[in-house]
Amino acid sequence: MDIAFQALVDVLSPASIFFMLAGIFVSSTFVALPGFDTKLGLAILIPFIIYLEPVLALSLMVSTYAVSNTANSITSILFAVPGGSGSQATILDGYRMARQGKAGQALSASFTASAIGGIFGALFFLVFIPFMPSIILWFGPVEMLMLVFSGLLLIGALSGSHHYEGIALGLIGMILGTVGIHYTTGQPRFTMDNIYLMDGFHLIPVVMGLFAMPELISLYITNSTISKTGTNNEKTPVRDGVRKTFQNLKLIFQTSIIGTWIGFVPGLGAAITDWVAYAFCKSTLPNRENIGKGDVRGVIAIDAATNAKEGGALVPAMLFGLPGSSSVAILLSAFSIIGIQPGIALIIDTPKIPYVIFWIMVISTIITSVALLFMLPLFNKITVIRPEYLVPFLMLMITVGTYAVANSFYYIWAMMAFTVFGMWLKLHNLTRVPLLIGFLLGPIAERLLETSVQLHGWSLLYHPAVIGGLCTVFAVVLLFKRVVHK
Amino acid sequence: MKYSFYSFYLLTIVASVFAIYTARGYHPIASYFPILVCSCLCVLLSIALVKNINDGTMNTGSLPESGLDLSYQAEEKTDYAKKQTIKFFVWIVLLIVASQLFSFLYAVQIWMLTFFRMHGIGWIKGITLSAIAFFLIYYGLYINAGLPIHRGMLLDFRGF
Repeated sequence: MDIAFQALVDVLSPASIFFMLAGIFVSSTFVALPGFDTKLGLAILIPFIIYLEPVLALSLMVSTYAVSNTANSITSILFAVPGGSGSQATILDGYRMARQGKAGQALSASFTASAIGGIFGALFFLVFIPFMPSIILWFGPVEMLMLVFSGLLLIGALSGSHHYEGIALGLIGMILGTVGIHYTTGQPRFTMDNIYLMDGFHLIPVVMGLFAMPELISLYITNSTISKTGTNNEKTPVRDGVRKTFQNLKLIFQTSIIGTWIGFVPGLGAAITDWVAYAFCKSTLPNRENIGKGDVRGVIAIDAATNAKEGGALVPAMLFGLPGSSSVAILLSAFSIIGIQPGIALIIDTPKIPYVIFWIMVISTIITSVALLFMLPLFNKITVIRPEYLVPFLMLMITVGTYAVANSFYYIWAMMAFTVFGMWLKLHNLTRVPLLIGFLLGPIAERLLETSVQLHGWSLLYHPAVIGGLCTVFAVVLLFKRVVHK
Repeated sequence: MKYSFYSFYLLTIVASVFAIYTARGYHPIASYFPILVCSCLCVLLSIALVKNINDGTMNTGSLPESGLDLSYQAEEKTDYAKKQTIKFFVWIVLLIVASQLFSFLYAVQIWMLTFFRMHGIGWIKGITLSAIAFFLIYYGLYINAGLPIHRGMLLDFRGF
């Protein structure tokens, strides 16, 4: 208890608070821009931490990392342009709410849920870090393959009554994920000898093309403001959003568990958290037919999960040096610069460090959410700007953001191709979500399948995890069918 | 409004067969996964195709899961909407081509001013907004983030 208090005192020093605010500013700025994410912010900050004391360096780096999923909902909700990899699913309900004149409520709920989810993730990090080694070591490639496999089955759940088309789009997404050089053999696949396709399709052009551009086209066609009814629907947006968030504490708790779970399994892919949380809402909540049509629960659940994930992802990173994402990898390199080496010894020899990280995560999450709630009226005004003013700026933001991925126009043309496909799907009322989930999970599934086959050969088919996983999946599918038919 | 998915099914099946054929030439380890996924896709869509032919009804209706609002959907399927969609694509392609040729820093100002003027916005507002966009990307992305948005195929902007 003394150590926890001592860590809190260190974190609340004026210098530490200053560096936390700097980290929050950098993170919020980068994640609010499409095409940019926390990775870049963390990388830019690394040279600044070399001469800093460990607590100050941790304040700067951990706060940048911890709040990365809070501000990225702003562009998702206001413009249907995902600010980062964890805010794609927020578009589905958040943007609809903005169009219904409830942008303030959506943003307020998003910031509050982010704070609660972030604190949950930090608590998870602190409480479970001593117990995690045995659990993580239990997770071999086969177990992870089964987790990914169950994620792929979510595709069926997300396709509603159109299972065939949904699963087919998921499989197409998986094939698109295989384009490029194969990671073990170096074999170029489906590249048609095009040098640009060697790296495969990047996530940003795919998301921009499938989601952001079709929504922008809608805005251009309808020639009305984002909010079709102005901001009159909202008398007290901050209070409404906060109230709705606290009314759904059970949902926040459930999706926070999902988020931390995905975060702490290394290699599962942090970008899928929002979609898993969305699928959870879509398949379990009462009145779930409203999810995806502007239901605040869709926003709350996703933001809680994506923020809780950060705490979960730090557990394997701190214990084994296993980064669950590229942001965590940069964070780990920053830790090594300031002399913090991940490992069990970290907890035994320097027990204050986990507490310092915990307090930074909690305090920076609260500061960010409160600051963004105060800025809500400003965000709300954006929803009533005329499209002829807004559309060119958004077009520019999307184009430059996509170009920024690798300073190449190839990515912009790839985005245009996905825009045409996304628009076709939208006009034919087909959901675009399975395509993206397949694209995200395909490469992970392939890697895990290869490792599992190399380790177990044909005996993989009767591995306990496979049999158990298949039985669970079968049971879930049956249950899901019953729920759908009801 | 009903839409036929026969073409989607058939096109995807043909593409999958082609992908399986292509993947057969790859290194065995690199070929397993694409062949597996494409085979699943072929089987799935063949079943869907047969099922739909037997049922006599093709896939119709909206998916609530896609997050689509049907009121916008209706607006998007009129002739006016089609014209507007084409106009949108023309504008975005113009921006990309101009940026590729003259660099973002030059193209953005000209493109934005043209866009504003063609959409009924006055000269003063148009020039002001274009200038704001220029300074945002100049200071935000060129100076601070160091993005090479000064490079074009025909012009190379070297800064002030």
